[in-house]
Amino acid sequence: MTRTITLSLDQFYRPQPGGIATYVRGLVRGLSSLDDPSFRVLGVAPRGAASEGVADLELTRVTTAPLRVLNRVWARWPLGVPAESDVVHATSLTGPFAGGRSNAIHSVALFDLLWRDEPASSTRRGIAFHERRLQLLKARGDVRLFCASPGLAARLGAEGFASERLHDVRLGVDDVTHPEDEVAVAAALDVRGVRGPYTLYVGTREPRKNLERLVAAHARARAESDALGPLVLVGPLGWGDVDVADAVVLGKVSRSLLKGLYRDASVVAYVPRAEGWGLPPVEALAQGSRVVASSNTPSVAANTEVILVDPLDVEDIAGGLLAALSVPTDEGARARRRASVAELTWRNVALDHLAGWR
Amino acid sequence: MAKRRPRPPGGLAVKVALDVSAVPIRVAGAGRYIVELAARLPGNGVATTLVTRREDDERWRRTSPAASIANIVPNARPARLTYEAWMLGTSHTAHDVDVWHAPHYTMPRRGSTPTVVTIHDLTFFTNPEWHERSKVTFFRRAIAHSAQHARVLVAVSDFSARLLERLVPVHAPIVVAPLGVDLAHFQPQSRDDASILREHDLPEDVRYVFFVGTAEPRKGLDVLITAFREVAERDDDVELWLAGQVGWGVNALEEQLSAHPFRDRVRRLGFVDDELLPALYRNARAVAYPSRGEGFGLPVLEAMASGAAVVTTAETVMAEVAGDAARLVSIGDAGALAAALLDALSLSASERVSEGERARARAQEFTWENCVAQHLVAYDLALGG
Repeated sequence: MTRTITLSLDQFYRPQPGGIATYVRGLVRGLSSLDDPSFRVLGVAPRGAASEGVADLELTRVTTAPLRVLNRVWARWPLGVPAESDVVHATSLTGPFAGGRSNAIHSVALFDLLWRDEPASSTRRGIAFHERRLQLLKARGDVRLFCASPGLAARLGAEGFASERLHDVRLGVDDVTHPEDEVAVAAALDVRGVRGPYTLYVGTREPRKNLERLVAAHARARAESDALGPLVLVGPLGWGDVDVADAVVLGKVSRSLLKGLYRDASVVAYVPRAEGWGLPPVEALAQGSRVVASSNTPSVAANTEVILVDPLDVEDIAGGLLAALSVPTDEGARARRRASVAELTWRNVALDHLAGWR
Repeated sequence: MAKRRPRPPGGLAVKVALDVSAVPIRVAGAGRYIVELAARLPGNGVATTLVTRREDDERWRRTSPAASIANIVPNARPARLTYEAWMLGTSHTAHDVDVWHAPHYTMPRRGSTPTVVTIHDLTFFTNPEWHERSKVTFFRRAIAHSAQHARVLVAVSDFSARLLERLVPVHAPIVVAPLGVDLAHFQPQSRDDASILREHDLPEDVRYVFFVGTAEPRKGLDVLITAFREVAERDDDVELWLAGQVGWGVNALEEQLSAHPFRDRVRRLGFVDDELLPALYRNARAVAYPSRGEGFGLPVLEAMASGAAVVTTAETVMAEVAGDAARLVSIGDAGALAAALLDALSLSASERVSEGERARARAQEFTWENCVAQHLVAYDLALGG
């Protein structure tokens, strides 16, 4: 019999779909890549216009009430969840946490506890919302929690969540986009006056990302070695006042250019104060680049190919950048770095989820 | 007010009692709304108890097999309303649920269960002459009481919500839950209409203007019958088909009809069942709904879903429902109604199709699922969410 797996798609309808939408997109692709006739995937979506394309997702989409209604009622009622669902997977804390067949499996993806770790980055309402939903899930012994960052399951276990409810799942970094070639990357940088080596930061520009310390550390390190080149920032403007001094801001770039920028960077630096998972350092490793990251970045905290630094210590960050310059860049070393994240594929993510739904 | 009860933690099954005891056997208007809620709440994870009249439990079991039934309300109307006011709120059923939903103006006067009350229209205040006098006093008091004591109020349109706030002191949040239409049942494509019409002894080749609604003064049937004189004079073969139950105050209508020069071209269908109604909407050259005021005006939505050319009244909730996909005329203006009907009757086949598509598209914005979703918001608010 074909099992029906229903995923929530609410994230695609929020003003800034962000990382969770990337996760849902990857998970759907991973499930589809297994080409397994024993299950089919449905998506339950709010009514209204999506902020990010959902038409190309390989699933059958069913539409329900507007997002503002789902935000409120999915905590209690699985509005719009098809009755034939064997698995109902909430891709965020919005829910739903019920619905489907009477013996359906219910699960929720949890990426971080950032609203606690970095409360300054959330609104008071956002913090209250996340905390209420987490406490609700604590009371709901029947809902499985899929923890998408290393260490998260242990933290929840310490808070009293039963260990049999907690499942580790990986996140993927593979996609089908090919990186731009070196000429195209050089041309894109040349337009902004960057010629020769550069240090790359990828991510939104907001206080949590610790850019001011990175800028200071970079200036200090570059004074000792010009092989670092200027600091190039890629990614959208987030919120809050962030002084990036004379760093070169490229803003949002295409996925293919981003991959090329990773590959050709002298060093990729990512030193946020706190991080839920940390996609950029993993994406950089997937291109074989040399990476400096905060020691508390879950995605690479245990990766021996990365130079880990204390994000609150400018001196330590500067030292890390200089140390990275002496890390080999021959093809063997680059292949080792790529291999260190090779298991982070959406196909493996899908397999982790299927194991959790057993 | 009795003490607040502890609210159930989110995510755990919330038990809602829906009082369906006011729904008559022949379902129309507000009754349709209650039937749809009863049928759809369990499927959305609401542990639903339907509170029915003592001898009316069987049809509710059929309507909503997954709901529990509490057949505790007396059958006779006066006893039913007294029982609701003074006994239901402290009943075992009320104690056992987290939210009580009274879907037709009135609510229990005793008990501590958070209560959601639906207000359909405010014509008991704005146009008491449209109602029987005894009902006016009763429902005015009921609405005022509910506005003061309900935890949450549901209005079926923005129009009603605005009037409610204007006319009575409101002490609760108002959630607007527009009614829906069954888009599969009411649709433009014929489903063997010819044989359905034949089964009901209706001709399949007659051009007709169609009205459906309970005959009572507010429906504007008098205006329609006056307008039909002009329509029939200018259009040689069109008929007027009137469907719906007999309400009250129909003597004047009967007199008007018996003196009508084209009374032979007026066909009285009485109450029509769910199977026949879509075929009647679809095959009508125009659907007239000249009501002076409604809570929602469900026939307009059903007719639009069926792809019909609709003529209804401006400055009413029907105008809110119809948007720009119907012809709107002033309340009580027989001349304007006749002109709009003649305009609809003169449409070519292709014009009728394209108007029908526009009407259908507008109707698709009103779904019962959305109506249920708004009720979940109301229940959540009632729980203190």
